[in-house]
This record gives sequence, C-alpha cells and structure tokens, in this order.
Amino acid sequence: MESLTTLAFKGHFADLRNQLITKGNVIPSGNQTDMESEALNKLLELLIKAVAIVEDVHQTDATLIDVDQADDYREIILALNTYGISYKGLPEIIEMQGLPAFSMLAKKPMQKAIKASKDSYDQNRRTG
Amino acid sequence: MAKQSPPAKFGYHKARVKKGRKKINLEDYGQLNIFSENTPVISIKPSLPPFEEALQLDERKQSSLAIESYKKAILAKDNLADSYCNLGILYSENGDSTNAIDAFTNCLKNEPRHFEAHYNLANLFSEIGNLPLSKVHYQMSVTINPEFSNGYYNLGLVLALNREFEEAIDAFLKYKETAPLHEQANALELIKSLQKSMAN
Repeated sequence: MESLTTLAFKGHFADLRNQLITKGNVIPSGNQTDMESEALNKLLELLIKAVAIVEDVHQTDATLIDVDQADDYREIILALNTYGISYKGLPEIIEMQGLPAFSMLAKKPMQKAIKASKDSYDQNRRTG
Repeated sequence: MAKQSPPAKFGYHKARVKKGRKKINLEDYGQLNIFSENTPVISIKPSLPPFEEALQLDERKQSSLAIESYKKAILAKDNLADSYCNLGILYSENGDSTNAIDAFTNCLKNEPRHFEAHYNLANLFSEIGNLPLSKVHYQMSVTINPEFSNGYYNLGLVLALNREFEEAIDAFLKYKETAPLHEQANALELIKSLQKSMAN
C-alpha cells in the first residue's frame, strides 16, 4: 500500500482543492484582520487536505476507515460547510454502518414567540 | 266546529325598506349626506403596540426594521420576553451569535420557562458546536411544552451526534407521536437506522 503522504500528494488534493475553492469563497465575511484570515485559510486548507487523505485511503481500501474515522470525516465536512465551502463528501464514508449522517440533517428552525399576538388576536375575535 | 288557524308567532322582525317609498335627499334638508356613493372612504390606521408592529415587520422579512421595533417594544416593556426571544432569532439569522445569546438569556431572565427561548438557545448552541448545552436547553423546552414536536426532533439529532443512541430513539419516538402525519415516516426511518446501528 502507498503511504498516506504519497496518496495525499498524488494529485487528488490539487483536484479536490480546485473543486472546493472558488475565488473569495474561503474567507467568511466578518471583521477579521489579514492575519486572522490568513490563519483561517491555512486551517481550512489543512482540513481540505485531511478530507483528501481520508478519501484516498477509503478508495484504496474501504476497510481501512472505521466508524470513528468516518465520524471525524463528517465533522470536517461540517466545519468546511460552516465556513462557506460547500462540499458534500463521499456518501460511502458519511453513511458508514448505515448510520444516518445526523450532522448533515437539517435541524428544525428557530421558533418565534407569538403568544402575545395570538392572545390579542383571540381577544379581538372575542370582542370584535 | 270550524278549524282554528294556528296563532301567529311573535318574534324578531326584520327591518325592511318599504317598497315604493321615496328616497329622501338629506341635502334638501340642509344636512350633509354622508351616505352618498361618492363620499370618499378614509381608512384610519390604528397605531399598533410596539410588539405587534415588530412582529408584522418580522413576518414581512424587514429584518432591520423589525430589530428596531423589538428594541422599542423592550424599552416599552411590551411583551418583554417574547420581544427578546424574537430579537434573538433575528440576531442569530444575521450571524451575530453573541447578541443572540444575550437576547435569549434576557428573555429567560424575564420568563425562565419560556420554551421558545430554551429551544432557540439550544439551536444556537448546537450551531456553534456546544452539544451539552444544546441538549440541556432542548430538554428544558420539551419539559415545559411536551407537545412541542420540533424540540424532540432536534433533541434526537443532538443525542445521536453525542452517540447517546437509546435516548435519541426515545426523542424521535416522542417526535413521531407529536409530529404531523407527513413527518412521521421520516421519524420512523431515523429510529430504524439507529436501532440497526445499535444492533451491529
């Protein structure tokens, strides 16, 4: 088997990075300084690299990736998504052992408080 | 003996304009005819209480105006807890987690059993990766309002992410009981896949 380093640098990383990074997409908007943005960029690139490594290993021999590593992979994809890099990841890894990717499932949205409005509406109906 | 006709019923009598009666022109008698067809109808918009106004702006997706109106409602102490809660949602939608947490916790300071605030706070903690706090607030929201299905669903997701599978299944089962019919199949799928993974 080839070493992880060889796998990571055999071109897959470059391809993946090209697919993932669209110009100006990596840095989230905000009040970051140049240094902070640069640090964040580097961290995100490392995460992308980690994704590439896991995928290469999986494609070489799927049994080398266990459930815990698949969990880590899901977390990395989620972190990338949080910072504006939309990548769904390999479903074979994300759905390992038939576990649904809970981190990928959309939560139910925030709940507005409208009790007061409802009360006054009801009151209007009663008195109107 | 002659058959007696039943007595006429007394009761309400509808007011009707008698046929053939001439319509009076009020202006002939020196009065202003306000019932004329050409009289313009002026609608007087009643001023809404600050919270109602904020809610309307919020529902029209006029986010910045809604934020200002909720702040006015808070200053006027008009539905204080609900105003803080909805303000928190708008901050959260703007990516301002700090002010969102501030608003939700202020809501809870005023109404500690405000289930929407517990639930929204849980959503926010889950988004920023604090699963333990998220779990506690989801649990609080469904304890206060056991009919609140969305609370069970999100609690189930957080528990599953925490690998607390049995508790997650319980939460999804409660979601299934309280959710609308079209959502129940989805809950069942999640429960089945959790059970399957526990059996492995």
